[in-house]
Amino acid sequence: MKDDPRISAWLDGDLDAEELRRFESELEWDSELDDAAETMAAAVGHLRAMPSAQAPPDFLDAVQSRIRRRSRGRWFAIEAAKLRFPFEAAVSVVLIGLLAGVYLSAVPPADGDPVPLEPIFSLGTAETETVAAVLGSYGEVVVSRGSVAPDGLTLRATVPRDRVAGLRSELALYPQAHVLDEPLPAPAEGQVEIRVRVARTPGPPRR
Amino acid sequence: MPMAPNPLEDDDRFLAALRRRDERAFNRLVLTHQDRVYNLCLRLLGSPEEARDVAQEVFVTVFQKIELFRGDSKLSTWLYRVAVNHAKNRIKYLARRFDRSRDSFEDMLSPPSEGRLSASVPRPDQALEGRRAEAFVQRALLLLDPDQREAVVLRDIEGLSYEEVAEIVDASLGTVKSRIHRGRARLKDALDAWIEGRDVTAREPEPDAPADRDDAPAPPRTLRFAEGGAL
Repeated sequence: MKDDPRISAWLDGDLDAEELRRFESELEWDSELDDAAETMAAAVGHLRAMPSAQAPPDFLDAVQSRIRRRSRGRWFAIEAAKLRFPFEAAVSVVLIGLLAGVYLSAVPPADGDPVPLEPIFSLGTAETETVAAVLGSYGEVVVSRGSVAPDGLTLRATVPRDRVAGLRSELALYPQAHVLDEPLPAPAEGQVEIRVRVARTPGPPRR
Repeated sequence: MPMAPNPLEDDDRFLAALRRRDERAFNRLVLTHQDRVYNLCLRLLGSPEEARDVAQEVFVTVFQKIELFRGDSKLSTWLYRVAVNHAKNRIKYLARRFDRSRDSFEDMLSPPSEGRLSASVPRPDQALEGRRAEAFVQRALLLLDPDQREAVVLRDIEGLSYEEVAEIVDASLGTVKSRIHRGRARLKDALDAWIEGRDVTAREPEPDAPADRDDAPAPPRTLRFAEGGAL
């Protein structure tokens, strides 16, 4: 087949007007030239129709990684920084834990809400905890609103009326426990409410 | 598809940022040009693995040697030049590494042995569609000399003007036109051979392979390597 450079120029629109007229005239009567032009046009058409390939999704990361490696971490060191131990995150977690602990120990429960004994135990000394446990063994223990103070806490316990004397005598064994007033009638029949101030530091020995 | 104007390239601040190795500016450069550079490397090398590797090296070079860009041309033109040079070096390296004896193009066009391909090879307008067409054209590209291949790829696949191609390959306009024409002529010959039932991009069939299959055109077998580029 003919290998005429004008075919390529014709396909690219690179022939001037006179050359174009003459070339297209030749195409009319020169079947070999016409075939060659048609086949080359098809080849160029296939080239131009080739899909455009896209770079892989991790291309940028791969380039950064190469630069980082060759610069020994001087450039694009962000990821390397992420790989070290996250001291800032660890310190943040510890601080949040400490603040949560302080909050739980300082904020009193709502008035009248029964609370488990374990938080009460954490508020005082070992003896204070024992007092709270003694009260709990007689009835439901309640912490009054605002009763938790640096120097101690006030506990309310609803206990059977006939067990008040026994409770008093048992509490007498603990110097930091002080029954505040006479038992008050409780809503439930046969029950009374007793309030006990429990100091955090041991009080004077009781006789 | 001429090179689209890129506002980044006209931005002196962007170039200044690249020169001081600003990582965010460099990321923008990569994201803007990665597809075209990768596609160019793929068409020049014929192998996705080689193309990925070379395209990454192109951007590493740009990062390292951005001072060499004097601003005489568009940044994308310089980027293409770096890519073409890297691809050309890789082609040479692969040619040495594989040490393949290269058949001449004329040898490849020699008539096939009797019954090598069936007579049921479809016409190009039926067969050269979709992936098969792409695969055929890609293989045919590898038959070209590297100079012709880069000129044809830049002109017909990347859609650059003669002038842009000349600037990228650092050759005169006349040389570029000549390379483009000779490259196209070879592709045309490959297409002719296909029409005549000779897939010049494929090797001879295995001795025990069926020679006269009439169910479909014989798919390309092991590929020839014009310059050692794997497909």
